[in-house]
Amino acid sequence: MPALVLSNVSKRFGGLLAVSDVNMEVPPGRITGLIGPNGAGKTTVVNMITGLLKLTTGSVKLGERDITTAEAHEVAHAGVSRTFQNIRLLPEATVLENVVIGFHVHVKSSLFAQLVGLPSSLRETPQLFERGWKLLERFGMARYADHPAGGLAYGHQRRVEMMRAVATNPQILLLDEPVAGMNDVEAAELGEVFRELAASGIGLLLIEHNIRFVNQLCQQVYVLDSGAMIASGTPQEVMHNPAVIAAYLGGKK
Amino acid sequence: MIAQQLVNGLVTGSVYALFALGFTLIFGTFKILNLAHAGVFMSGAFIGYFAVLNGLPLWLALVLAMIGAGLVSYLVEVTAFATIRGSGQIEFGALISSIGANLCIMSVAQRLSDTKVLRFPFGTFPVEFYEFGPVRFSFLQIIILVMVMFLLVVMMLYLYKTTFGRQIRAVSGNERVASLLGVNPALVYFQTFFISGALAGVAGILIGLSFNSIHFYMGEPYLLKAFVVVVLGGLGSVHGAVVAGMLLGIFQNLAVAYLPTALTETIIYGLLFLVLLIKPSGLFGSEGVQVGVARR
Amino acid sequence: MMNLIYTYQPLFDYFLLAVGFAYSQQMVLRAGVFSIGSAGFACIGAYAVGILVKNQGWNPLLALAVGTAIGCLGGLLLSIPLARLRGVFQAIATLAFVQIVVSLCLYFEEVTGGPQGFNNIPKLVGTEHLVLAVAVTIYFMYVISRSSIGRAFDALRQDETVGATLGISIRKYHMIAFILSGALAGFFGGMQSLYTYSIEPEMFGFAFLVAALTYIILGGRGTVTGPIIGAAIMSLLPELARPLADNRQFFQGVLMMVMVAFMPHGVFDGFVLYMRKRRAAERDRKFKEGSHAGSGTQ
Repeated sequence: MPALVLSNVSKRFGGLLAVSDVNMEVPPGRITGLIGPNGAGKTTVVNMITGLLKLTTGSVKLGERDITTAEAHEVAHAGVSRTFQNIRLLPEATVLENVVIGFHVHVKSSLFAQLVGLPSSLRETPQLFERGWKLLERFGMARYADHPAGGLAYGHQRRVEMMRAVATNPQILLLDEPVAGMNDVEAAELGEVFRELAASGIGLLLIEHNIRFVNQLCQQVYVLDSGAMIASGTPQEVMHNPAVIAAYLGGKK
Repeated sequence: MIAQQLVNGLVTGSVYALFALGFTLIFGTFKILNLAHAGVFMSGAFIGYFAVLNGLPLWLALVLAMIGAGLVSYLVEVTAFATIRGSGQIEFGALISSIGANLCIMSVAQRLSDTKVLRFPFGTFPVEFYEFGPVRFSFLQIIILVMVMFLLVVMMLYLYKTTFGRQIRAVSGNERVASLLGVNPALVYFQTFFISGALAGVAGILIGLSFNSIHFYMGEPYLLKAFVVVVLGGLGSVHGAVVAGMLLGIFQNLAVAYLPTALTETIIYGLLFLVLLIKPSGLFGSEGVQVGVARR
Repeated sequence: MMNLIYTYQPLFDYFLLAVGFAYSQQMVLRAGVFSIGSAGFACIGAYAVGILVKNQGWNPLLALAVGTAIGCLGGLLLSIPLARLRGVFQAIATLAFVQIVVSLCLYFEEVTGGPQGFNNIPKLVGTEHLVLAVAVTIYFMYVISRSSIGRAFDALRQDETVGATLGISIRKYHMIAFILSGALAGFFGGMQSLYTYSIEPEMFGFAFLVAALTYIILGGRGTVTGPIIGAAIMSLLPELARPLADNRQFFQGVLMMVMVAFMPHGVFDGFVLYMRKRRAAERDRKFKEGSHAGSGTQ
């Protein structure tokens, strides 16, 4: 499994340098943290990786493959998936349908088969729904399969987004504040899921405000402040770094 | 010959501008494409016609057309747009709703006119001509130009110099904040739609007089042209609507003199298509036009 | 009995044509593309088929194939410039497209007959052909809807960004939507041409555009059944009561405003969503009762 490597990545919006010279590695099988005060540029970095923003300088590589200029759907096909800070589920679809759309990258039947109704396409749909159902059972959400996604409780919506990202069977998973607004019990449950995913070989990038959560899970932590990387290392090293403490004054949880 | 076409073009153009002005005002303020504007335009002509038919002097008919069309426009806002404000689908939904409102207005007019083309009684407007060198103006053309200029100046003053105008611009920026600052949105809705309608109503009665034909379908061609004017000038830009309207009028009159109408129409809509491709914000527009998902 | 069928047959035929055009309009809207250009493809298809069959003596099936192919190609070509636009700008651009098509048909008088229309087209299409055509279309619509294409469309319509990050190529799927929409409109335009003896450019103008949109507003754009319901409502409603028929346009207008305000998803889609919510609430209630009445699970 390849690692995701960012080299000298920066982003300029007109006169504003939102992200400057970021170097980062998300290795497979491990959970890497990205922390920093609000507005530090964490989501900007994620958007640059996933094809929503153009890089001003630098490169993003997944193993040998350069995805610096790849379009969003190409990035997904390369094996990088993400969750969103403000949960973005498909509001009109059911929970099961939301998860099944995550399998899109793995669809085998050809366009022609789908247009005409060949057996390869007709077989695939129930297969995908079966896989989706299994995923729901694994996350304890089978009960909500036919619920409209928009009407769920917040914690459940987060889980649906998680399942959808897992459905893509990614090599790298970018989690943008996945436990925001959750209590410690819920966050711990999700943390277990993250450990399982990492154990299966996926490289996770965890972007969070909840420092305790990050420290429990991550082997390596990067700290971003005002677009620049001010520290990186193990959670212990980073927590005792004076620059990090200064950046977080007044914002520590 | 060219000079004459230019003058004719200027007159046509100024009516286009007047029509487009109301249209772009609503889009600029509320981000709604109000297709019922065609019906409002037509209702101005109808009101003016019935006023004259009942013996009222033309100047009074004009005023009534203005007020009446303004009220019709506000009625559209109350029935078609007020009901869907706050829902997420405002762009799509408002467009459809305005089409519905337009159908209602047209069908009422169709009833009133018995699906016939109405004409002003003989002598409603003095048919006089004035020569200025190689160019001949009709009295009506002069009145149209003067009226439109006057209304435009009034509009500009209103939008940029008065409190009401500032309030409209505030609401167009951010309605919630505006209301927190003491602006009464309901009043702003009324004013914007009323003004938009009044302008269209004047345009309607002027066109009705120019061609001496009033029918329930008369708004549609102007609506289609208005798209061209409003996109070319920049959606939401008042200056843009005026300049683009004039340009379109002039271009159309010149082209029609040398080319068949169908070809002129093709060129005009082809131009609209091209503008949308190259610079959707038009000449004066500042609208950030969404481009879908792409690396920015 | 025969009299009844006789009277209502034309209505049924127009309903079938309406279903075809409704599906054409639905294809793009379902994928989140705000295109109202089906009228343009219908016009091109109608004239292409009419001219080939009447003037060139072509076999109608072959002519229809050509009409459909032109619709496909047109859809593909139109999707390219429209890929850079969204929302109302897409709508205006497709409106301009329709006007251009109509104007060109008026201009090329020697070929199309101009404003007088293209007349004396042999009537080769009857009710049975329309029924077959619509049945086959429904099959394709169902198959596509259930496939990944349908799911991709639904995703893009609800949240384009999310769809893209899940690997759905927006450009590719929007193009597919345009091609399907063009093919359907071109085909049914051709069918209309072979059904109505004569066609004229104004038949495919603003009124056509509004009608196609109305079917989807009424019925819904997310299901295969929706467009059928929308077309049925528009065709049947005037027949239910005399006053409705006399003031058809007025009631159509009221219907549109009411639908947008109270059932923005359309009658059928709204019904489906409502049933979903109800069943979800039912299941929640049963679950709560079950856990209380059971052995005290938390």
